[in-house]
Amino acid sequence: MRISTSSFPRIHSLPVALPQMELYQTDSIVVAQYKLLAGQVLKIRFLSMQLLGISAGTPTKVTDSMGSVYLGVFAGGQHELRKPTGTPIFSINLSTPSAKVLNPNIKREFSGPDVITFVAVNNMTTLTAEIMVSGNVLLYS
Amino acid sequence: MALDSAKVFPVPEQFPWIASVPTGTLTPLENPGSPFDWTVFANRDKDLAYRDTIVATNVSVLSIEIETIWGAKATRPIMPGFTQTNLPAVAADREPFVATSGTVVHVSGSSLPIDALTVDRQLYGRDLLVQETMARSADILSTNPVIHILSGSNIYTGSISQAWSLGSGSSTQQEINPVLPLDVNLFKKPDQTLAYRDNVNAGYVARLQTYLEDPFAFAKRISVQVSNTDAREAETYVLAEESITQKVFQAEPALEGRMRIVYDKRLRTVQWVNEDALDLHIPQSQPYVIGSVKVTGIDTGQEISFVPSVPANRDMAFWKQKAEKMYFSNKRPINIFSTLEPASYLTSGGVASGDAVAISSPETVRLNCTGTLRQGVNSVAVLFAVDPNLLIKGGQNVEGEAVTSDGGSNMPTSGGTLSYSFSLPAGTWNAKVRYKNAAGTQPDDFKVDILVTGMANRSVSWRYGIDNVAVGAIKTVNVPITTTSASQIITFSWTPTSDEVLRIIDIDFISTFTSDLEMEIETTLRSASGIIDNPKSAVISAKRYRKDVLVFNFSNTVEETPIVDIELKTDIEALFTVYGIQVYHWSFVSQVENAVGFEPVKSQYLKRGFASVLNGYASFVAEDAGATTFHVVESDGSYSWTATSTYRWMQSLKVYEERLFSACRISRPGDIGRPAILPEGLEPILEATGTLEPRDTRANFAVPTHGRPVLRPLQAWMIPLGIYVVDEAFWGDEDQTVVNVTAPASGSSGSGDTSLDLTDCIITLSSLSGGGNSFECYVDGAVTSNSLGAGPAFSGNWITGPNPLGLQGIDDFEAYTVGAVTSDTLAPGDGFTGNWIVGDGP
Repeated sequence: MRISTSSFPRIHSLPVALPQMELYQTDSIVVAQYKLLAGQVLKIRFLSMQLLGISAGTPTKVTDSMGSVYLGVFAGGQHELRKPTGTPIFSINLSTPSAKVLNPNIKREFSGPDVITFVAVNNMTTLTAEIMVSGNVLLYS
Repeated sequence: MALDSAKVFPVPEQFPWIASVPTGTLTPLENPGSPFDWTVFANRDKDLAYRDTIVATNVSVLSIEIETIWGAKATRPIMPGFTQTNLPAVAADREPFVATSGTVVHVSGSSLPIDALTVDRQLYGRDLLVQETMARSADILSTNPVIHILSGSNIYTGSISQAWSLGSGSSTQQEINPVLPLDVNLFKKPDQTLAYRDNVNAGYVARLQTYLEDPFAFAKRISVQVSNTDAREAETYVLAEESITQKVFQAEPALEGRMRIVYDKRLRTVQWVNEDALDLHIPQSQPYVIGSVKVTGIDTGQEISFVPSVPANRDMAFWKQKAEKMYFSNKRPINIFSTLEPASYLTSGGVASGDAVAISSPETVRLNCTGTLRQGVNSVAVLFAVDPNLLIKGGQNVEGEAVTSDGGSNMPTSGGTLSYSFSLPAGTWNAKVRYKNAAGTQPDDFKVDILVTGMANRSVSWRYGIDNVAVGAIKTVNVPITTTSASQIITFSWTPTSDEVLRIIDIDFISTFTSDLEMEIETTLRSASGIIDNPKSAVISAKRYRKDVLVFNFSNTVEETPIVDIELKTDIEALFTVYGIQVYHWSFVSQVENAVGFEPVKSQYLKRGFASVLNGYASFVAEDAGATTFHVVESDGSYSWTATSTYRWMQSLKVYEERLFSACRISRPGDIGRPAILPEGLEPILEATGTLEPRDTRANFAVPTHGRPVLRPLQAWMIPLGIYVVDEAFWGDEDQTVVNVTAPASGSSGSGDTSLDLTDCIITLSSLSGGGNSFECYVDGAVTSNSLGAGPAFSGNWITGPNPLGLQGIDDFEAYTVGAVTSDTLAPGDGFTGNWIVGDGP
């Protein structure tokens, strides 16, 4: 494929990034949100989350099947809530201080019309967590 | 070998062209006793010349076929033009039995002109012999392009391996001409010209036979199919390396030293190396030399075929079977039970809302599933929505009146009642009753009374027939009611006045509630023996009508039929409605040998397979799309996209992608996020208020502008629409994360989890409140399966099942109090000699 000067500007490289941040118990934060118009495509190419630390204590989870903290990708009307509505379409789950990257070998493409939301969640009722998110998506318009 | 002598014949590049008559049958000599007529003899030679051209055309056809199959140049003469390929074999024109030697005896000085007819018959037979030999040689091809002439007859029954003699021929072109003297050469030289042309044909056929007897020697690609054990579809292997001693044909993917056929030039053997490269295939003699295309494979009964046919279109099913052979260390879901009609499995709690199950207040519903749990991690995926409505079908009446095909029930014809029991959150609701005049005449105006108990016995009247309900027409009436949280009954009573039949199709209780809700859901996996694992909970936010999926993971040691309890733990102003449920097991598979570095291969296979689907759809649009309607037209004329629409659309993809349904399947709740095939532009419509469409029109999805298939992650709203996901073989090596990075040192301490999930270590450190003092007496290797138990002071959750960390002796726990065990403080016990694993759980 040849990228011409007319098509290249139609590909936008957009961030999904959250600097180091402390999330209190059960808190969630929208890291990024992209509204796709009809015909637009969003590709998730790189997405990582790091759990820098958890306050001392015994963690108790809000939603058992997810990590102590997680980054979830939601769509299909979730954007009006800004909170986790169920199991994310994709997620990065962490339970101990570490970092994980969404498997880059799997293609993840959304198409409009839709709104894609990236939500970071402290899934514990007892402990605070310090997290960081780095990522990049490509928007084809 | 057949036509061996012809192999030494130096064939010209160009087929000798002489005058011919395009019939292929010989001009008869009507009366042998009549005066000599040179034109008959001249025409017969032209007829024979044309027959040679037919054979030469067949030579070219076979040569082109060989080139197409094996991708290498095959010899053939340069032809000024092609003719038909059907070579006539008329009994009157040939000898009773064709000479297998292919000889021709020309006229001599003692011959009469009529003796030239005998030579003609011999020349005629030579054409048949060459053509038949060529056809039999080409039989090894999957599709033989050369027409048999003599098979099934007794004209020529000899073996093609019998000798062939070159006839006395001459490349000098000469024809019978009246200006020449009537002597031997008048007949002999034209016949020698014809014999020469036969020799040329025989020479080319002999050379083509060498290709067919050992295509590996010249092929630049071969098609390899494995059958019986470890079967795989025909796949093209291309020439990757060639040396003095061997040729190596290689298939995708370009795995180092694997997926290859190694052909030994000296020994003429073939050896297959599959993607595992674990078992050695003993080189086998190339099979074409004995008229076969198969050799014995690696495993018992396994056959490797070198398919002699034009490479087939690689469709999505082809790439699926390719993807199945390449797998990486990962978890693979295996379905145990799945339904989008949970109401059929409801045994206690809740109420059927159509095919779904609705929970109106904090309560537990129990679904008795089918299938058998497997030991290890089992997951329950719940497809749900928080609905401000409850749909009760007319057939769910208390009186037990018969259920009609539309799910309703008819009011008793002699008058009477139909009652429905329901339970809703307290508030203001609208009961939307759908009804119809199921039979009889158009009714007169008469009164139907609706009594709702539990709300001060409120009664409303509705004048049925006032809008002249025709037979069969579906109408609705809205009845505003105010509910309490107690169980209530709505009763319809009437007195018919003529022969009309009033049918209650369904009652949809719709709330005026619009706000968002937060609630806790708890799910328990059980069997007939009791609880499988601790209940798992989730707290969610919800917007009405928006479908979502919740996944709960359980550790299991029994192999029994699953029972799922779903409990709504929060009192909400709406109904938690379960639209589907799936129970599945996570199977762990290990990586195929030496596949590191090829992780993106499944995505590549999917891309190629889907390209075939796209091409098929393009053909469908170009050829057949004119009269195709995918959407469903509602009774009010609006469009809907339903599961029926999806089925129609998928059928359109299948027109030019015949094996599509073997490469994908209808989605299930647990497939969330997996690659799904859906028509571009399909979306759930949002109302101006921001909420999704209410129930009665929520099936209305924007009809795709073009319907072009796209691959997108499966979302919850797609599941009820019957959207297909691609086969598990295409899924990635891991659904969530693969790369672990050691975190930098932090002032905070890490703690273990208190519950099991797929991403965590199963051993829960912080729950070992009493210490594991039973462990210290074990030495490495002495601990057998199931011999470990909880210490006497242990009060946490003792988890059994596969240990992801392997067998380990642990003796240090008892010295720690809860919370004191931090990362990196644990160490192996004295008796431990195994591999001590640190870091995140696998």
